[in-house]
Amino acid sequence: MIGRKIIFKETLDSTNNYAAKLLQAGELSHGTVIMSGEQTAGRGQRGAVWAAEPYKNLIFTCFLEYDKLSVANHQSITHFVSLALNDLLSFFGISASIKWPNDIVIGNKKIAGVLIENQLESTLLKSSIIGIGLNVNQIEFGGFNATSLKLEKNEDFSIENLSMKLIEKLQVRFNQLQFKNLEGLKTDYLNQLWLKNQPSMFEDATGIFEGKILGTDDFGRLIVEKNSEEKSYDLKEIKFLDRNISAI
Amino acid sequence: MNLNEIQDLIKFVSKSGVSEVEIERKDFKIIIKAESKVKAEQQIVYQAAAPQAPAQIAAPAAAPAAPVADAPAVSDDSKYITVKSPMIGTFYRSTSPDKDPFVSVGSTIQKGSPVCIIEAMKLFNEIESEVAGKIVKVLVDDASPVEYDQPLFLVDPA
Repeated sequence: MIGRKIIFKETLDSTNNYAAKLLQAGELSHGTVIMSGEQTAGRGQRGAVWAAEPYKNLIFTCFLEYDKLSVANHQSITHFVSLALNDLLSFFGISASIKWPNDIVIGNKKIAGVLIENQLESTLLKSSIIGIGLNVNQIEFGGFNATSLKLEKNEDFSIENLSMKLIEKLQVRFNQLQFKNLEGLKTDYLNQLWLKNQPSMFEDATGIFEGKILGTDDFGRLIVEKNSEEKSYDLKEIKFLDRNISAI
Repeated sequence: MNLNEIQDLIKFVSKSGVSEVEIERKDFKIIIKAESKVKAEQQIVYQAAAPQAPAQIAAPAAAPAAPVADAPAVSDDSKYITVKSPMIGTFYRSTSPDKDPFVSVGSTIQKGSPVCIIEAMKLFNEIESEVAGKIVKVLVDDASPVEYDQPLFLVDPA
């Protein structure tokens, strides 16, 4: 059960780091949730800074162990976590999309970010430390193109209630994973993929082009139609551009 | 935190099925534990997981399949074990750019020691060694792209 144990710390460097330390010490069990009011060194992708004001956002990490999940299916983890976040937002009447691979966006504004760290044992995924940052009551984001629940619904939200609801939504999607309904997860993920089937601007190694996202391949790479050809892109091989050709 | 808040918290723990809540603020720490009915069952389920699967470790990198004609001696790499990438992604030798690498040439590793991270579409996968031994060679540069099954390390098994 997710949330069987809940740890709340007023301040942490990062909830994922704290989880990693507990794991190393053998003190982390399946379903443990760690939350903190403030992160002094919240991490995005390899060091990218996630700019959160203290006590205004949901800073959440949970630790999950898997039952015989093959490494080949590791993208299913991205699927179930991003879907749980969209399920949570849709419960509050907010329709969000998944910006490949795992940002949650409304229009082109980011409302939630995910940082997943998996522990492998040979060809199996043993466990994951899943970090989630959800913008809740923060309304200023400096230069970041971001939004929050408050900006979307014009009201304050209880972070405690949100965290319990998130646990519930994660549990539902995690069950789907444990029951090996991986195709169902992928179908739902693709249905909620931002810009799918819409002509959009991209940039790859050869330059700027108009293309269309068609889906993702078995490795989780983005499949884009470019000049009527299907191409698969790794994370660093493609950029999303807006109509003014700036990166988004 | 006052008495009422603590009472609320206890009510919450007993109603929600949560078995343990730990709250730490600057001046105090409180841990509330409830005996969970599902505990035993849950533990059994998850202990049944994590079976021993066939190793991702390949057969020893048998002396390069087509030895170059003028190679005087058979490469003794054959006694080493190759750790290969289980996925397409980017190879990282440490958890973050400012941290020390998990392993370097000469490092002694245990079975289960983390040796590197492969990032695949923003999933950070910590790869564990399947064998105990010593790192003989690091075959890929930090932050380079790797293919599925690409050799990453040579290990001299203990």
